[in-house]
Amino acid sequence: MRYFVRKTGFLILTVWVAVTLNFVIPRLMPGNPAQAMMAKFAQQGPISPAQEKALALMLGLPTGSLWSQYWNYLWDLVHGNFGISYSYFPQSVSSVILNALPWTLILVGLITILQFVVGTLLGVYAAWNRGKKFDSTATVLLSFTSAFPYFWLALALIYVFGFILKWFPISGGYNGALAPAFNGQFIGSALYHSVLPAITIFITGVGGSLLGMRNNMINTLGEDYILLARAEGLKNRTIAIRYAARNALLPIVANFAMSLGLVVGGSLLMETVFAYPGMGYLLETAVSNQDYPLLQALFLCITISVLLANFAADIVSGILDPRLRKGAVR
Amino acid sequence: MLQVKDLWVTYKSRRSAGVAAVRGVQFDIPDNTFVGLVGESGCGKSTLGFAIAGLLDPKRNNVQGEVMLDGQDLRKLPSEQMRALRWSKLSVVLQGGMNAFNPVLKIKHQFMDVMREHSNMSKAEMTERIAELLSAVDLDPSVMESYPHELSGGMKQRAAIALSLVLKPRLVILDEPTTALDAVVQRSIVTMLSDLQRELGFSVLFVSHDLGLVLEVAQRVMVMYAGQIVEDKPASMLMEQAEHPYTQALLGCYANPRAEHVSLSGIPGSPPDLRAVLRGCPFAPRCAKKMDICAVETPRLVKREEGSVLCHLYAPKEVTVR
Repeated sequence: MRYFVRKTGFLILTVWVAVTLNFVIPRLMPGNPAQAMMAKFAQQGPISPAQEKALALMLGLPTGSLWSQYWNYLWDLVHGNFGISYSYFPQSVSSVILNALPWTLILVGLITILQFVVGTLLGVYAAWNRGKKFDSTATVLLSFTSAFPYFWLALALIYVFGFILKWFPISGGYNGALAPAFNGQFIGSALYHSVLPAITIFITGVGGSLLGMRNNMINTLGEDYILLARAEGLKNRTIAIRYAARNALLPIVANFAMSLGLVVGGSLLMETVFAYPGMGYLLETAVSNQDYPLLQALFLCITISVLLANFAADIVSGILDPRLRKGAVR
Repeated sequence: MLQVKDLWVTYKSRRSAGVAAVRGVQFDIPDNTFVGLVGESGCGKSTLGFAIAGLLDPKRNNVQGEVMLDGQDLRKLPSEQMRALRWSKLSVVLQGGMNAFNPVLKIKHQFMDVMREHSNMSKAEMTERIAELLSAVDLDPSVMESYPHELSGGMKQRAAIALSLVLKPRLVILDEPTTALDAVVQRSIVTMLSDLQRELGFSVLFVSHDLGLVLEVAQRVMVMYAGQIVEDKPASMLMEQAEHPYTQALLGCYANPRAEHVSLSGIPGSPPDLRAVLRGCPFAPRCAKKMDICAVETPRLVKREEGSVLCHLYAPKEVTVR
């Protein structure tokens, strides 16, 4: 129990540090976004001081002492108020993010989990049948495909299945003619559009999961307790799952949590190539349009989701491994 | 009960003919007997133990010969039947016991896994049996609720012995069970083991490099050298009148604490390379009583009044008649 309390305390502390850094860093940069925009407008004609003030107000530029800014910032944060997006003006940053988040969470999140589960199970099977046909083919093939560059695979899939065969759409998250709604037609369209991005994420990820699990499992299979389990005449399935895979999984959980944490950042390259309306695409738009409020909010989302994923990994590891839970030194 | 006939184990190798770690071993273990198997590192004693228990990986080893347990040849048994027989007839205790338990499962669940596999005991019966066995190895029954990392090395080894007895096997093979422990703990575990053996009446094959320890607890001792059993005798006899020069030399390595003048002697040289095909007696280069024949002819097992010895010194003379 102490383990879980300690980990929760650590999570709260790290989130606070991340939030504070997110406040401090932009303020260390010279100039401010209003001035940058002003410079842009100034090229088209002179700007009156009144216009300048109006712009600053509209963008919600901070006023007052640093201390009061910090408290305002925390207050806004708690209320989900990240200001107005420049590039999606006049939408608020939080509504822009809330529109993009489900796309990424559902597509990238689900496929990341699926890829991990499938890869790990294949890894268990490959390690158990080490050196046999499945192991030698699947392991080599999947480590080959996992080395494909993300964007290259995405482009290749678009070219073959979107452009030449025309089986799947080449970009977007849904048919632009449809209004986003919870009906069969829209969901069908979204699924249809997600096939190629999903394949991209799956293929580039599954090999890593397989290799990681396979190699860990082969190490575990050499342990004395596996030999003893064989001597005990336990069923192969029991030995493979309860004795070998269970232990081989421990170091992998942390890696998996990291990749889950990065889901919120979106698969930047994948979403850019497919013009998929998720967080990665949003991040790219924000960067290229110097949309500071949006960028700041996105970074905060990514940081916090990584922290949460690590927290989840700690908790799951604690549940799986009694040695961590009791705080014992290994 | 256990009869081993002409057992050979060769570790496969891509580059050479392989390492013949066990060479034509032959012996039997009757019911209710504590047998020690001693030899120096690399003599094949653990390999022999694992070969009997059927734990060698057929991909890496080539095992030949017969291992008869109660009239069944374990080597010819279909794997499913062999699996069913494991632990209920034949169990093992591994070296040191440090890693012999699955680190993520409580001790009791590891006991229950094997009991559930081979019996129809209810949960309450299993718990009762676990408590009974833990007490038998001088552990507190509450140990069953612990995880392996919460136990000391000695406690783990005791728990491993308890685990090996959980289904009342006929034969327990112990591979260097006390090697990683200090002399005091070693002593108490071995004494406890021999008490249990007499009390419960199972047979033990105790593999160890410590001749002194084995002589104290075993009823019979087999001495192994270069993959062969060179001498097989009741423990009391071996101590008094060892016949094989290797056994005599081994005994010379121990000091009698009561003697006024302690004279210790080592054995010069080192064991032969088991990759090679051995010609003559493998011990000959290190033997103090070497004869001409030892370098050319491989000795045959000679039956003695009690036990047997593998040495030309004791070969019946008439055999040389051609």
